[in-house]
Amino acid sequence: MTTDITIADLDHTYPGATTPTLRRVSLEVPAGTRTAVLGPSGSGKSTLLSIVAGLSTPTGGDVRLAGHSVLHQPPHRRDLGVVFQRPLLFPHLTVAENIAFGLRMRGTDRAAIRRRVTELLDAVALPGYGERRSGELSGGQQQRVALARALAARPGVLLLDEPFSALDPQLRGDMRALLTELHRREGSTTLFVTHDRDEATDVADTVTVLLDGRVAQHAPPADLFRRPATLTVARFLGGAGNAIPGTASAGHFDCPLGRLRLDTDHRGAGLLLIRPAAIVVGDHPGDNVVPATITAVTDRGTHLDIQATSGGVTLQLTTGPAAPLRPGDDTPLWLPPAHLSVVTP
Amino acid sequence: MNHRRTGLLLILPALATVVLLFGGGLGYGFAQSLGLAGFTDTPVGLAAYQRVTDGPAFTNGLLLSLWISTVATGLAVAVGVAAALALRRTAPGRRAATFLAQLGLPVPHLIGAVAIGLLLADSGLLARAARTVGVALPALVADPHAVAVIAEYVWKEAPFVLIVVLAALGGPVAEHERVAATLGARPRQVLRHVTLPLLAPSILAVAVLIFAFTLGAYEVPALLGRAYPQPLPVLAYQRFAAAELSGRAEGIAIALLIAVIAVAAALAYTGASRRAVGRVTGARR
Amino acid sequence: MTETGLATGSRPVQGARPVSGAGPVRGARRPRRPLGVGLARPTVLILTGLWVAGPLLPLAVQAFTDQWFYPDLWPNRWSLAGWEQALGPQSRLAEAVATSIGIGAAVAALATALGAAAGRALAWHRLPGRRLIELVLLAPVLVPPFAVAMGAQVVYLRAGLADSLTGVVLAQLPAATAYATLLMSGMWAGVDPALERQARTLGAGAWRAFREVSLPQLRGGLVVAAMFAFLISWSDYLLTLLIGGGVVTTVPLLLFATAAGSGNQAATAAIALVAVAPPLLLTALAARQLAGRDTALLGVGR
Repeated sequence: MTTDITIADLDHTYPGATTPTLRRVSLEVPAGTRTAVLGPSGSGKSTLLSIVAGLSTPTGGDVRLAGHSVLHQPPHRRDLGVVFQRPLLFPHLTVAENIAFGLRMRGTDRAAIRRRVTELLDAVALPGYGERRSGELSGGQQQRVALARALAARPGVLLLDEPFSALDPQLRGDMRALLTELHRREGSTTLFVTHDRDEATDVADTVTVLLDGRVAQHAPPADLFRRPATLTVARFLGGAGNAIPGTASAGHFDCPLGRLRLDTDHRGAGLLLIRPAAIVVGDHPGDNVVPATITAVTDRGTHLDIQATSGGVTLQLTTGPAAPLRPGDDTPLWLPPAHLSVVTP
Repeated sequence: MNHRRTGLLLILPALATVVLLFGGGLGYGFAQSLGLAGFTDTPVGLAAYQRVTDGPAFTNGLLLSLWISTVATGLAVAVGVAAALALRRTAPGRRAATFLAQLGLPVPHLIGAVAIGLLLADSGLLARAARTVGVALPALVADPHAVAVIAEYVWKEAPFVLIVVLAALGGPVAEHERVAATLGARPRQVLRHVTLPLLAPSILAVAVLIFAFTLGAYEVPALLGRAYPQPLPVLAYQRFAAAELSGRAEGIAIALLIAVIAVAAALAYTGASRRAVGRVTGARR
Repeated sequence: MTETGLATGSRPVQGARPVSGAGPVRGARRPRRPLGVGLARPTVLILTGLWVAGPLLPLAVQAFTDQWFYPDLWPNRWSLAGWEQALGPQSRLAEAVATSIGIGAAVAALATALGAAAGRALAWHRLPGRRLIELVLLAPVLVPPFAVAMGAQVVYLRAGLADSLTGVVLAQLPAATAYATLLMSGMWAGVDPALERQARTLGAGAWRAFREVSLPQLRGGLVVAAMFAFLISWSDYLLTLLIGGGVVTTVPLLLFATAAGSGNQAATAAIALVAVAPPLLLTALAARQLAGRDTALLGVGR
């Protein structure tokens, strides 16, 4: 049983604040899919989640679950589960009682609760932990219990607010895998808030970039890196390493590097963006090969950071650690059209 | 280790003050109550305790004391918790209420007793008000149910409960309540299954303090209670201050019995709270 | 900084929106607050004020009247007769106030000094038998102090301390010290020990490091502790009676005697007002210091 989430023209300004936290935020999460809301701290992403959960009331706009506006429904009538950054397990209850909480509130019969709790303890790899107190668990274990607790009543919607950012990096990877697995089993429509790019692209099938309370881009993870919508998005995603001014026309971009072929809707003056890792050293049949001179090579151990000039433009690129390149070498560089995008300067 | 010794040196003066001046008096009093010391003509043994507990004055006093403390504690906790839950939502209201409640706390009980006396006496303000609307009140001061005594305790201690519970509510309680709501708990279920269990340790601790205090307080029942039966602290003082020497041992015996009851209540509490507190603090260990 | 951690609720997220009212709503864009809740808040606040001040206000009226016939709701005649008696030549109020202040100051000074040292040990040091120490310090909270005073009275008599100011100070000291210690250990816990260590590496001696680094941070706490110790002493009746033997007359003793013995309600009310002023004043002045130190108030409840 899953539910689609529709967020329509959501506005929110905190009482006493001069600038709005959310401005006209619209977002569609189809039933059974996973969307990550990615943004730096202060972007309004947690506020967005708290509004969907019913813990905050927006100043404008609407939230619809399964087509019905839930704006005036208190959280407990919204058929959702929430996992917060901290596990927030009820300290006066055992692990099993924590997981059973939502079902107990709904008056589910005991045998069914017991079955479901056992099933979920297995699913989050904590079999036999039911009788423990939350204080006896590690941070990662607690967060797994919180996840099981949120899913116990089979909610149509699962909301996660930076659920793994308090865990250490090793554990975070495991938790992402667990979340993907749980989503496959349970199928709840998932809205996931994070400031971590890798986490967003790893867990979600669609990523919404939220900057300054506005939706800056909404795209599948790969597109996000390949085709950032604006310079700001590109900067936030760490993809503004090479920004070359020039003029875009149908299928072309003219700049000091020459005429490059690419596919863009942009017309007129713009900035060409290409990630350092997308530039290929060496010749390549076809278009977009430019002559360049290496000016600096820094060995980072895992890769080389290279600086090159071409047509008076400085380019940043990276290669594998074994590439035989030295400052002063002349080499052609290939700029693959699929990795080129043009944004407004 | 040096660190440890410094700690002991720092704490020693305070500890010695409490052990010598407090524990010493307690121990010496115990010896006197057994006829082992002091100027008393009590024979060595439990004679003082037998004399004291023999007869209705003690039994009735004990029952009255337990009645006063139980009812006062229950009412103060109920009023304080209800007020705290009603007040918690708004920040400015909360601050103002905390300030008001704090203001009332250091008012000495003796003054509270005088004020409540003026309010509840036969010719007090309440009786006048009732009379104006045509109601005749029963006696509230020096009455069989110790209404005025209980009223003073509830008046003084409910703000105390309010402050402690508001402080406890300032912790992670609100976050847990929000989680409960997202899990489908209705407001009443949140209160019952999350809020009250989380507050239980604080509420219990406050209840024990109030119970122990009211059990051993003298001024309020001395001023607002009746001549018979007298609650234990009044009885103890009267025996102690009586003309005959044997009264001293008896007074001390009663005082020590009060202490035993108070400590027993506290121990019962630690038993109950170790479980409760263990659950709550366990999360952070 | 516009974002609110959903979990930390660092901002007054209208969150925890009182979930009680969720009826049918039409076209409302603005957050709806059920009427009942909107009214309940000020009501409860007003009730709190009435609760605390209510019983004290009649005192203020009573102190200025000598004729208030039953069942009138308002005095028949205003008068300063009560004050004249309370402050008059036969009255010992001024002397009692001086005695109370003297005893209170001594108790406050001693208890605060002892409590400050012990509080540092409890907060910063590893102590053997810590649980036992804490239990001993809690004893005066649970055991009625007059049980102690009755037992100790003989000793005070033999030592020549009965009926003396010193005796009363010593009798009141343990409870005040216990509370000051508990309070100060909380204060010390809020001071970072690393700062004193840093001062030591910069050449300050142990005492100097304390005085220059920790003491300024503790100043507020010390004031509160001293204030509470003073108020514990100011409120005491029975210990003063038992050890002071009626010779040491403090304000509570005078008040009790007037209330129980004289039947002069105006004079009683006037003395009660004098007795209630310092606690109210000190607490109001220290309100800011008190914020978040609610457990400190434990001691004054008695």
